[in-house]
Amino acid sequence: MPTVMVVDDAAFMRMRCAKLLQENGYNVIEAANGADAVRLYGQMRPDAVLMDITMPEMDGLTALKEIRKGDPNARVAMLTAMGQQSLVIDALSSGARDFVLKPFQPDRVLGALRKLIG
Amino acid sequence: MSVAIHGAAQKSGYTQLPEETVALELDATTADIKVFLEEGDEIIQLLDEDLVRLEREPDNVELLQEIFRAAHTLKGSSATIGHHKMATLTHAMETLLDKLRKRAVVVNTAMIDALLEAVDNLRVLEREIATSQESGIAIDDLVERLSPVAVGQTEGHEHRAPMPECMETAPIARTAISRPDAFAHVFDMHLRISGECPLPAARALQTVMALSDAGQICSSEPSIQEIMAEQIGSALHLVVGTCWDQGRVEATVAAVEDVTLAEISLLEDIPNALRDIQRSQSADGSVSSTPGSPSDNVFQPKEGATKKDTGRTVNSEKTFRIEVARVDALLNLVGELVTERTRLIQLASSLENKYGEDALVGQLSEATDVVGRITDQLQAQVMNSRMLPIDSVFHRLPRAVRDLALRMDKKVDLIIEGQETELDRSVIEELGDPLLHLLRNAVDHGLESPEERCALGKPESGTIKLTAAHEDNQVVISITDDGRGIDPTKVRLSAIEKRLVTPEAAEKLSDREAIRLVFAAGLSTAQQVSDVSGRGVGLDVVRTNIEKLNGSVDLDTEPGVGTRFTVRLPLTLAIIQALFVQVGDSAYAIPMVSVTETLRLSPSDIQTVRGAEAILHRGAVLPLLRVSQILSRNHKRGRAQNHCFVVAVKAGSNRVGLIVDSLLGEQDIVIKPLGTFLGDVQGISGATILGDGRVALIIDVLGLMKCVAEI
Repeated sequence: MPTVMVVDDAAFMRMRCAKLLQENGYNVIEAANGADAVRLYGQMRPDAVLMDITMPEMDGLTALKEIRKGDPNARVAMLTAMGQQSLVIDALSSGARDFVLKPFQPDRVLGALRKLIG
Repeated sequence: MSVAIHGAAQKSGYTQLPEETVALELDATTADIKVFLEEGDEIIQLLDEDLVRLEREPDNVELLQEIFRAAHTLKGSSATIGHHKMATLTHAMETLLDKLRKRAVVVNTAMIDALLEAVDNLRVLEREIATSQESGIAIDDLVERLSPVAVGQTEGHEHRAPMPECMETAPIARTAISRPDAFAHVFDMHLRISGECPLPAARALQTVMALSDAGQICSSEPSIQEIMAEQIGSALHLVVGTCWDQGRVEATVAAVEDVTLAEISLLEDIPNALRDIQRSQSADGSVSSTPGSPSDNVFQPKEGATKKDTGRTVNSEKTFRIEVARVDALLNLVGELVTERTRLIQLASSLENKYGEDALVGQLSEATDVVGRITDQLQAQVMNSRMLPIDSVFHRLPRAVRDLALRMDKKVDLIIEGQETELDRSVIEELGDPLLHLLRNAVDHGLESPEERCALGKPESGTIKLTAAHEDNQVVISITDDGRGIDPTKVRLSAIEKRLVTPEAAEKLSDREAIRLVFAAGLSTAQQVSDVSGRGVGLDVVRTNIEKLNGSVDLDTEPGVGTRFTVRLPLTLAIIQALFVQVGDSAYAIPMVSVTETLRLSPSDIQTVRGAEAILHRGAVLPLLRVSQILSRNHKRGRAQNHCFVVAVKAGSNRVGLIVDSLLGEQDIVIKPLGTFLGDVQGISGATILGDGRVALIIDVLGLMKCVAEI
């Protein structure tokens, strides 16, 4: 069963996302900020990461870069709101594989994960 | 020295090296190595810093030079101490940098990546020398990637191979990535980004990144930089070199949300395809990407190039082509509007004079002011829309000079500055030939042969500097060579021989005046007629062409040191045709639309009808106006002339003859408003600048008639 780490500072979003993923047969790890994400990634080595961009402690971009430092093959998709295109571009050039717009549509998230892990 | 150790050592990084290293044999004493290391540290650090800077300042020639020197020095010393691997690597760097220096390839991210990786490797290799132990890193792959062919094909495209190895050991591990020797396929792909996609640039970049895993993005339209700057429409055109098959490439694109593959084709002839891409990239006016500049022609765009590039990036998305005729028609209308505006303002002020504080008149005046302001802005905008960077002429000159230099067996460095300088389209169109002619002249007659230059103690390569700049209301273009200069005595002799001047007249000419004789028709001072510029079509044609543009050309020269031709041109040429006339000391322009004919009169032709001067012309009385009396404040009445000229003008149904001293000729002119500080000058609609820098007032025929009526 593939493991996915959901990184978002909003507990509600994590919950919604985790629920969706569990229902679709994924193991879910949750992280509330970038720093936790980097630490947890090292410990758990999830198959994919869904990463929010704007977060306290360590933002998603920094976390992405940190994670990829430890694992250049890390499969990370960014969760982004409208109007964050430049950040997404930054993330893509830093190694993010994909991105999903928030508020997310379930099949988009699942589609992105399938491609990421598949 | 063997390069036997692969694999484990690379992946683990140099922190674990001691376990797997072998002793390094060098042909150097400890003292040698110490000096080498001191210098090496410095050079590697410099390379590191400068390469990063180079990415930001790809056109910084001095910087490139410095980097090249650094690599070169390191190559020399590493070869000397017998560290072949370092010598091989620095040689590869040097070769690439040399190509860069000569503009044979253009800085791009992949290239900088490879170079920086090389610097990282140099650090490891230097450590080998310091510790006398081999690190076991393999550089073959990197050396291959440093080859100009591998990195030179993409122009300014972000490309980075994925990094499958652990990034912590990046400096070494990156070199271990195996790359295909060549692409099996090159795909030409047209992609569509869905109109509903909220982040089109991000999707485009995602596609590019995904495809760059496949191999190399050879071309991207819009460019990666433009995509990163979020400048993208719905279309993305990529050329990708890869060993993946078409199915895998298609699947990669299909995996990207909102992006569809509209068209994909396999480019059969890879070298040609790449060449075509390069050609199309250099044909868009980007001088900095001149591919294949030969080694003896260094083209150095200065600060202007970066500015221009930015401009192009910004503009590319938001420009569209328009027929020249439409802009011309628009400008024509604006020109008329300007004239009518002046009339309107005069009308409003007449009304004010007549009706005083009338509310309606006040409103009219106000509206007139507003219309006036808008007209000004409109005129400025239309003029602006006709402006093009002079680069559209300049960019084809390096190639011309190169070919010329080859034919003439001369070595030429062409330096171009100020290519971003803007001027009117109509001027640009006419500028190419005269400039080419002046450059030919510089290469052919100006510069000495390399042998001659060597004998004179000059650098073997001659330098021709082409610059453009705005100066007041003019564009000043100068072409400077460091050649033999022009000998005034030779010009005098040649002019006498060709019977252009008498020996006596030639004697009286100052050196400067004598030199200006090169602009006279039928004078060629070249020692022998060459097939390039000595065929009777001389500088007189250049002068004529430039003067046709309302411009002027002059030259300065110093025998043995060089020659500079200076071309001055008005910024813009409007569409209004005017007849220039001389009145007293001033020149005036009369819009051709008002002119019906010109007459030459003797004083006896002028009659007096009811106290006013008039002539009988074509069976009707044509009242005469002396422009000098109306417009010229301090006209000199003196100089009784045998004859005078009359310009018959019409405005509406009114006809008058304007008495002027002489007719100077016809020209297309731009109306320049006089500016508010002068206020409204009745009878004058604006001013224009003559080629020689003199200001000529433009006569507003209707205003002039009114002005007279009021007197």
